[in-house]
Amino acid sequence: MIEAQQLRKTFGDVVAVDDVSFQAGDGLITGLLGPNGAGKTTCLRMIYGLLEPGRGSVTIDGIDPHRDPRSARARLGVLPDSKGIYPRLTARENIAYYGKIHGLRGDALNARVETLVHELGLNRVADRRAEGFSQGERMKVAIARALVHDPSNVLLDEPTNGLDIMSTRAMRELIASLRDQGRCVVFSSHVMQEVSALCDRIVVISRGRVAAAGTPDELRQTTGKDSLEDAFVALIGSEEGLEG
Amino acid sequence: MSRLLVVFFKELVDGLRDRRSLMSAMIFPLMAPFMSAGLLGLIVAQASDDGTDGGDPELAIIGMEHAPNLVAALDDRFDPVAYEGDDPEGAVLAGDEKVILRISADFGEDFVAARPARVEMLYDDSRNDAQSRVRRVRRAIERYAATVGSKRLLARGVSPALMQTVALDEVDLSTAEERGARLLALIPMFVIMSCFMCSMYIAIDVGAGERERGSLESLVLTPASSFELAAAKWGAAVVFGTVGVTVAVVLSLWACRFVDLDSLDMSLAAGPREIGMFLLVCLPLTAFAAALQLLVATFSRSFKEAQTYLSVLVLVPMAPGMATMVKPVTGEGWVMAVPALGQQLMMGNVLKGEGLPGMDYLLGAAGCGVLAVAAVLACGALLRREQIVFGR
Repeated sequence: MIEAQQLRKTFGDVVAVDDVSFQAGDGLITGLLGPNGAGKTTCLRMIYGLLEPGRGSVTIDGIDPHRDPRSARARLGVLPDSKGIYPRLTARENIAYYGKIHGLRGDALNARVETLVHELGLNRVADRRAEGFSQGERMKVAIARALVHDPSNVLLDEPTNGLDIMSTRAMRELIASLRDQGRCVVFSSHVMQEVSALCDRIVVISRGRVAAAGTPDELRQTTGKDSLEDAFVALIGSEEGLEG
Repeated sequence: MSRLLVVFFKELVDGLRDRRSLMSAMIFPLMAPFMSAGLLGLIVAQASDDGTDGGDPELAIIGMEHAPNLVAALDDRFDPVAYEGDDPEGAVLAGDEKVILRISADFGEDFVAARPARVEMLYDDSRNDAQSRVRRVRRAIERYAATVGSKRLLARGVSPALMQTVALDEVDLSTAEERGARLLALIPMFVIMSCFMCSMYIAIDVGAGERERGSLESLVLTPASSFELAAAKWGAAVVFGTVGVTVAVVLSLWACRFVDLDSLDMSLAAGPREIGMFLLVCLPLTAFAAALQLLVATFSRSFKEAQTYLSVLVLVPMAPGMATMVKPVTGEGWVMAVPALGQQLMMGNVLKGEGLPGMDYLLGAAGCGVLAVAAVLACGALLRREQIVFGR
């Protein structure tokens, strides 16, 4: 369960995020939808605690990540904006490294890494060094690394960016399975189709503010549009940045 | 603590798999001994060439027939031969002859009339290898001139002692070791450079590399604190530096055995005990070097940027070594606490056979240690800053 209350962040004179509030419940997928530069990444960074909010507050399962980062991080798996992995380590070593930092050892660690390798379909490349990996394989390793400590809340910043169709499909299945495991999943995207296909709740962000929030049906109703795409355009007020 | 060890071992494995950083870490310590021993050998060979080349050296003279007495006096220490070429200046400039004497045709006449008789000495001052020969020839001629002058005074009933107003006795108190130490400043200098070279690439990799690859954001999101991360990365760089400097020290002191210092009436202490002292002296310096490099590398956005800064930084610790060779620095007290300078002096003293005073060592270790910890703490603080974590 993630709650954001009236988040605001400014960089100099630029207001990147202003008065953003939303709730993401367990067993639900919440999508942050918005054009590039709308403030999605800044929002997520404040939620996972690396960026100090200018105003407002965040709680993860009731814990403030700025007050008690260690407990908050233990409950939070993050695929951040930069998704680099270590090229000289194998896929398995990359995942296990993060497992060890989270305190996993021995059989528990091996079992967890094995589960993730299997779930993410990394078997074929698990013991290869990551330097030759495709974009999709790197993304999978980065996600496995974020999930290694079995967090109940998962934040994914543009998880399908740069992936081909097959990898995108696999990613959607993964996100759905995370929800089915009862986790609270928040992901950001600028791709309409993805958000509409996956999300239980959508938070539309435009120019740093929440333009609308609700289920896909609710969004169609409030805007009076039949398709979600039209609803999105109506909410953002332009077609700028719309992709899909 | 266990998180720190996890990060430390991962960085070590990662560093060992990076062939480029491994190569560049090891090349310098493997080459340093040959550079220092080679340079030393060269200097010794030149300095010990006392103008003798074994036996009496030939001395080319133009106009030998004008001054048979002078030539006979020179015959004591040289093998005077008539110069037969027609371009003596050219021969000296080309290095074919180190020194040529040209005795003027009026020499005999002037000599008899007790006027200063002219002899020209042709030499090239820019040639290091000619200098000892020049000194030797000058001394021989001056001695002859003084002898003749004394005889002339005696013949006129004047005591030659009247001419000697001051008696200057030169008493050289420097020990053979101390004379050698000036030359031997080379060895500590290369050892100190090894301290800096060997940890450089891994420091860049764990600092700037983490940022450039885009893995830092995920790493700081783990329960590991930024200080644990900084300390672990520092530790990995220290290990690389220590291994490298150990190789450099052992090989350098071993290579010294092959330099013939006896011919210079010099000796140096370079046994196993000295190797141990060198390593003790170098360890804190390596820790400091690694910390400083990690700090700079963390500050840098990319591998290249870090490399640019650090390759300049590597030259700084050479300064004390250079200075010591030009003008011997004697260190006392706080000077020992200055990183690189203190180590240069301590290692110089060890080579002189003076051993390693405990107070000096503690000062040196404390100076490096305090600065190293400060740099690691600063690095930890950097890793918490938004500009570092997100700025790529």
